[in-house]
Amino acid sequence: MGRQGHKGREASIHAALDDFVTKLKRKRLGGSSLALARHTTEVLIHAVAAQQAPTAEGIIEGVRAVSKKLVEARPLELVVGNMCRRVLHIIREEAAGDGGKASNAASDANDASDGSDDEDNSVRGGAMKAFKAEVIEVIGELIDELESVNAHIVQQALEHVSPSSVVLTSGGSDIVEAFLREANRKRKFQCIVAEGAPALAGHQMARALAERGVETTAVADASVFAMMSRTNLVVLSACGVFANGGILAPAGHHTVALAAKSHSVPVVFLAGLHELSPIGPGDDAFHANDLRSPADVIDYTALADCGIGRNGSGIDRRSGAQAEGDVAQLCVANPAYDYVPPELVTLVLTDVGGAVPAFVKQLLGEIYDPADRTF
Amino acid sequence: MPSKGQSRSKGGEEAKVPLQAVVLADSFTHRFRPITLERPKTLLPLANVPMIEYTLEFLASNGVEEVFIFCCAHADQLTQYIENSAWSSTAGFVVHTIVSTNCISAGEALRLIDHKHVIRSDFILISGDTVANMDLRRALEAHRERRKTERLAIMTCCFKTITRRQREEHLGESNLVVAMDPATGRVLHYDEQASPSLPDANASPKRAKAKLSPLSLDASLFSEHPSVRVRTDLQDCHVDICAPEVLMLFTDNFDYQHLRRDFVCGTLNERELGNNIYAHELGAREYATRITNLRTYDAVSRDVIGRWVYPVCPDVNCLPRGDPTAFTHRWPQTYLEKGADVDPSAVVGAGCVVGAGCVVGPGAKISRSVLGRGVVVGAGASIDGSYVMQNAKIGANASVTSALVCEGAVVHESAVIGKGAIIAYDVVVGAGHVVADYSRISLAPQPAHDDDVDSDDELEIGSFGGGGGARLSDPSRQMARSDSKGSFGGGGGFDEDDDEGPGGVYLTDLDRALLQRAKEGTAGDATTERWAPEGVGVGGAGHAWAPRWGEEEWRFGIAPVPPGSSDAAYARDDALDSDDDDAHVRSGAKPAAVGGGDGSNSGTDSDGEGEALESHFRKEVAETFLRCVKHGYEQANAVVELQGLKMAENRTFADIARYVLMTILGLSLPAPRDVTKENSKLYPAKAPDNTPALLKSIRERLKQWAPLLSRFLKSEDDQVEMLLTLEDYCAEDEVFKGMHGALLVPSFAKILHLLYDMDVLSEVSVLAWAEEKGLAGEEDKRFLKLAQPFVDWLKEADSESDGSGSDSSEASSSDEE
Repeated sequence: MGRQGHKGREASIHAALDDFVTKLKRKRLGGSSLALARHTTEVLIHAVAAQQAPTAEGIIEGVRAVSKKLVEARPLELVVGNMCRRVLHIIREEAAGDGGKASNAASDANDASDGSDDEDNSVRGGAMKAFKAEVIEVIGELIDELESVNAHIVQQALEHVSPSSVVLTSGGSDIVEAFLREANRKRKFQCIVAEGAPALAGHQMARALAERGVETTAVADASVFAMMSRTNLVVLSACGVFANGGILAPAGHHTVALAAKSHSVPVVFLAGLHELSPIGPGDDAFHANDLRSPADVIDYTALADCGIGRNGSGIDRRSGAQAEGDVAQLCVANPAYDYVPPELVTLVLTDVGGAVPAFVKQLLGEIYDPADRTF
Repeated sequence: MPSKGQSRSKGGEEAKVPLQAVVLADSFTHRFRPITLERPKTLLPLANVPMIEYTLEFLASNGVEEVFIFCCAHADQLTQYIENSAWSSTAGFVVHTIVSTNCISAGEALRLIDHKHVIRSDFILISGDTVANMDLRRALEAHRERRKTERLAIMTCCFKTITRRQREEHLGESNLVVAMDPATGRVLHYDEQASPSLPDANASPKRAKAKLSPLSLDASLFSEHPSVRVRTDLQDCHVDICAPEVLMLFTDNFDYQHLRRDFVCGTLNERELGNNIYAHELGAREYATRITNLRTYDAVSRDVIGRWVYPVCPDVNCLPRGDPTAFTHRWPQTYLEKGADVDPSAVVGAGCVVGAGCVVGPGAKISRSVLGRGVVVGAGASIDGSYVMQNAKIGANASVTSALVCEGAVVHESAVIGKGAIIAYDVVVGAGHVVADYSRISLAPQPAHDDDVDSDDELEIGSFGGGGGARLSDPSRQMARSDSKGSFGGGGGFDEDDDEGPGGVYLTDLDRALLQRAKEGTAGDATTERWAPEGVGVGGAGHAWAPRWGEEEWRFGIAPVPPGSSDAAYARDDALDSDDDDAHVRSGAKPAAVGGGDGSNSGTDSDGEGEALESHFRKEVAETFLRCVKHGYEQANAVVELQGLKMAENRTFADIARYVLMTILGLSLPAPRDVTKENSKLYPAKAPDNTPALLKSIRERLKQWAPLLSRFLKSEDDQVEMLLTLEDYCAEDEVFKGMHGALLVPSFAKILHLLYDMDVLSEVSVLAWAEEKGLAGEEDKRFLKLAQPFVDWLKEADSESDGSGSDSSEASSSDEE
């Protein structure tokens, strides 16, 4: 009976994993990185619960295997890997914390390696059950922590936005919007919003800010450099923070950061702890950008008039355009991310406070175990 | 329990009835020959993933829970593929295969599905060769919303905005004109015809379609809809959301074959049924295209590589489900799979996909091409714009341009494959051989009736040699049959669709050995006896097929279309068409629909056309009425029929009744000339010999229909009018020419009497008529004279029963004065 229960649970974790991986691949798990972090953690709770290994090490191996699957589905979503590492870290800490029990279990396992002793197994099983319950409880706390990430970041707004300053941001981001709105409660300041092509989410953000009474100016991305001379602070959102303090950010942020650098304007990136990743930008585990559909950039029908169709614009149809092998191919790139190198980043503002890029490594050491850098 | 996986996220309503989809895994055309002789088209890899995977992924990612894959040709291969793939074991996604190897069209497939009663609610109808990333839920929601208020909105078709040029040059699709109501998105007219072709010296005159025929729109569309938008910038995505009624309609109209030409056009034409089709337009970021020919195959491959179908890109590594690819992406849009071995001196340019296990030799140049897994490219070979499938081998210094090289084929050293060429499975091209542009080479010999046309015409195909009925449903038996014949390519199996019968190629052991040697390049000229070297070169293996598309090859071939060719064709079309340039939208008078509610003719008869209109109307009434007689309708039903006619023609009941009466009278006489064949059976072969017999026959008829007539002919004026018409009838005047009315002349008075007895005529009317006629000239008094005895008798009777009815006494008194 118990075995059947296990099998059922295994099947269920398998289905849940499969579902999650498929959704990740289909990019149907849009929304914020927080939601993704939460979703990942929930899957991991299932994974931990389904582990049958008799030792903490076994459980860790099992969770690592699951993590590998999750991360490989979409290596670009750093958050997924980060949450896996956080969970693994928790398991390790727990194992070390009630060291006696865990090591007992381990030695027991050694004693009865061919263990035909069912009774012993069940005793150990009970201990592991308790251990897993503890781990799951702590993971639950992690989920609660995720809930408050944004609030903790936003709270620090007043420390960074000084009165009658000019703050520039680019594109649309919930966290940046909340941050500026919080600042607006006590401070009077001006805001410049670059539209953030091709998604143009900046339009919506500019509107939202203006409606809240922030003095807002919307500009095209091309004007960022021009506006930078008037700016006192740049606030941007991050999609991921690398171990070296470099930032994975929505496309276009690198340009903004460069402009800020050349005007010596401080650049603050808002990032939750869940976005901190122990891997580096040049890492094997991470080397590609995500190229989105060109449809955001250019109309599909524009293809019809590219290259081969030079006759449309009044140029003589017979001259040259039809030369042998002259088949033009229009490549349209729409990369989703920018890498902003650490030297352009002034501060990474996390839910546990601000950190200069060089300090990020320190933070990483607190939340991840070095053994879990790669799976 | 595992099925909970996906349905959990869905609303309660959907959970009750799973979202179903029907995938037609057979295109019922010939365009992919010869490669489809051996494999089903839906298993043809596109960017190294079989097309059906894209379709299933599209459906699964849009929340479809139950899929019916309709397999026809190569059904065994397809079902086996599905069974072995992870799709058959995916939680929350159920795949059923329906196998019928003797279907010859989409219509038959849908009839079969209807017969199986598996579709329970609105479903998605899609072809198994669709690549899409569109958000189906949005379309589905709109469709369901519409169905709530309008039960007869039976279908929603998806369209993507595109330019005409793109559609024709890029996708190789035909000219499509769609008229719709811009406010509601209702499709009012769907017109698909072949695009004009380029003048070409060696084009067969049969195929050289000179120009587009002008577009005809029914004028009534403009009266029924405040605005009509005629669009030529749409691409039909062939993704349809259908109500179950669609299947029923296919069953009812057993002659429907083609989804668009028969079903959509048929539904739009039969407006009296009230069924409506709506259009759903894709957003800018949505993509959906069906791969209908090699041109589309190329275009869609490019779009997948160019990431227009994001997130369906090679480097997402989602497909094939269960055994995904492992591509990594490298700018500019090059996808290398793990384990591909590319020599450092080889150049892999933009827009390439290189599968695992590929070996690209030194100095090879590859651009805009797809290499399947395990492809070997020799040193110095150049491949451009081509599709080389799994385990094919391209020899050193060979050149392949815009061609399709199928699985297992071998192109030996220094051979040149021209653009648009198709090298089918296991074909060997000899060293140094030059394969001409647009040639097709297959191990299977060209079927005798590989028709010349691009063959959308399933009917035509279906009529080949005994038709689909001759096929055996059991694939293995079919295999045995072709084996026993010792022939190539399933002999009789060619009668069908594109995705040919199983086992297109049959080789003897000797041939196999020879082929093996040819592949290894050690056969020398031993192959020349078996395979003509003109087609494949010395040491090659395969049969060169005669060109099929003729001048149309540029349109459907895998090679890019020469620039501006469709424009040139249109320019030519315009030149040919200069006199009615503006007449492309013409109001077309629809041919008379029998008894239907077709509003194209209004009843306002101006003098000029009056007679023609009247005659037409008379015919309509007659036909409707005869139909009622033929089917033995109840009177109430006949009234409904006639009422419909009245509405449609904007007439009064009296008008109809008059002509009904004439038809009744006519039924006792020989059939008039203009009666349709089946109706003419209702008429006697010849008129009764004598008046009593004639009267008896008329009486019989009238007895049945008198209540209807008296109901319609209430007022005195109507009755007088009826009498005047009767006169015309008997005189065979105007609209009654050739109806043998003259035969009634001797019995005229008797007929009047009969009508009077039947209460169709009141005496007042008869007297009023007599009075009116009394004032007329001598000529016109002919019938009055005939009827005089009856009129006199009426007057007598009237005076006898003086004052029996107030208005009759009035009438008669006025008559007497």
